[in-house]
Amino acid sequence: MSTSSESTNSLLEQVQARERKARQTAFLLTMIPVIVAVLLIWYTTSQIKQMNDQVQASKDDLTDANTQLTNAKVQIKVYQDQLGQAQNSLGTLKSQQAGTSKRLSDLQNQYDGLRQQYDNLINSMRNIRSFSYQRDPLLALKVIGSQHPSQGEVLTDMVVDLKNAPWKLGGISPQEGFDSAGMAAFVLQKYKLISQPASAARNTLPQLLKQESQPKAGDVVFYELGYTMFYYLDDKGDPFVVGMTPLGVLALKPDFAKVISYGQVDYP
Amino acid sequence: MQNTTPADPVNKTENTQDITEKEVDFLIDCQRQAIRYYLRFAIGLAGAGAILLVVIFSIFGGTLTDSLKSLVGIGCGFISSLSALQIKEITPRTQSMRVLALCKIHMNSPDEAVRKKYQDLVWQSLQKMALGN
Repeated sequence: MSTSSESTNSLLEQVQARERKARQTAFLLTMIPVIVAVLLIWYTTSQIKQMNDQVQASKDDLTDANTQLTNAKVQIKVYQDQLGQAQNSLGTLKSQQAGTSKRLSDLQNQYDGLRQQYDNLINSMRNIRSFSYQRDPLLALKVIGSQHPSQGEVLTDMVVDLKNAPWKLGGISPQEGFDSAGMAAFVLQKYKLISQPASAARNTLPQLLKQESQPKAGDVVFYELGYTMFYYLDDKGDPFVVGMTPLGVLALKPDFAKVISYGQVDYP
Repeated sequence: MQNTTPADPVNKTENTQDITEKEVDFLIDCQRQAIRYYLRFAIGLAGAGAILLVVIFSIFGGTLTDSLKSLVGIGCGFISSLSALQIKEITPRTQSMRVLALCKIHMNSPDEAVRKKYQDLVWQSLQKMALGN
């Protein structure tokens, strides 16, 4: 009976130990997948969270880049507009420059032509040798004064009183000097042959004086280069003109330059 | 039916030992403790899965995508599902505990044959639980 009881107790202890071991085994076999699952979930979640953070950072960077790109596009648009305006302005300036260059070239050509005409005129005036009144001006004055007293008085005034007046473009007085039209206006105003003052009349003589096709003694001859001379006939009936030139008061042949028109002067 | 089945523990009379009520109570108590343990373990596993789900959602919930939330839910569900293994251990032990309780009742029977038969049954159960045969 004692042996049976010991055997039974031994079996009971084995049962208890087996149950304990079964619990431990079940615990371990259960906890291993639990731990693995927890670790995997945690690791996966962490990794994905990091990736989400990186994606968010990339999105932020992309947003910044898009913003910068948008701003850059706007600036490019502004620069393109400015470039277009600058190109238009450049085209306009080029056109203006071309026009200015052409006009400058034309002016240069005109200047060269005028300079050539001026030089030719000066040379022709310097080469005058055959006019008789330069040799004997008193005879001319006497002849003209006897035939046309008023015209002779004007001629005397120019070749005697005003012969030392200097040449000055735009001048209208003996003190400052004369140009050709200024002297003619001064003399005509001095002898009250025109009513306007010389300063106003010097530019409007062709309109103030009545135009005529054939001049008489004392009439005014208008030349292409702006010379305004008085027309006279010598004792032999040969015409000559007297007026202010860059070389002083000269008596010249009427054809020393191209005639534009004749202005009639009403002498008393 | 019982006479025609060789493995029927009721009809086996070999290697029998005297089993007292105290020893049967020990076996029943042993089974009860095992049932209690596995039940707590099952509840703990289910709770651990739920707690893990709540913890992860509370920490990473704002940053988890829908697919990741599904993944976490599946993982926690897997942990909780391990409690089914513990439930599986409870069922045979409950059956065994009921059988032992029934045997305990019949071991006090005035009929010697009946008492002997249930003692043999308890003995075989004891052997099986101890040796795993």
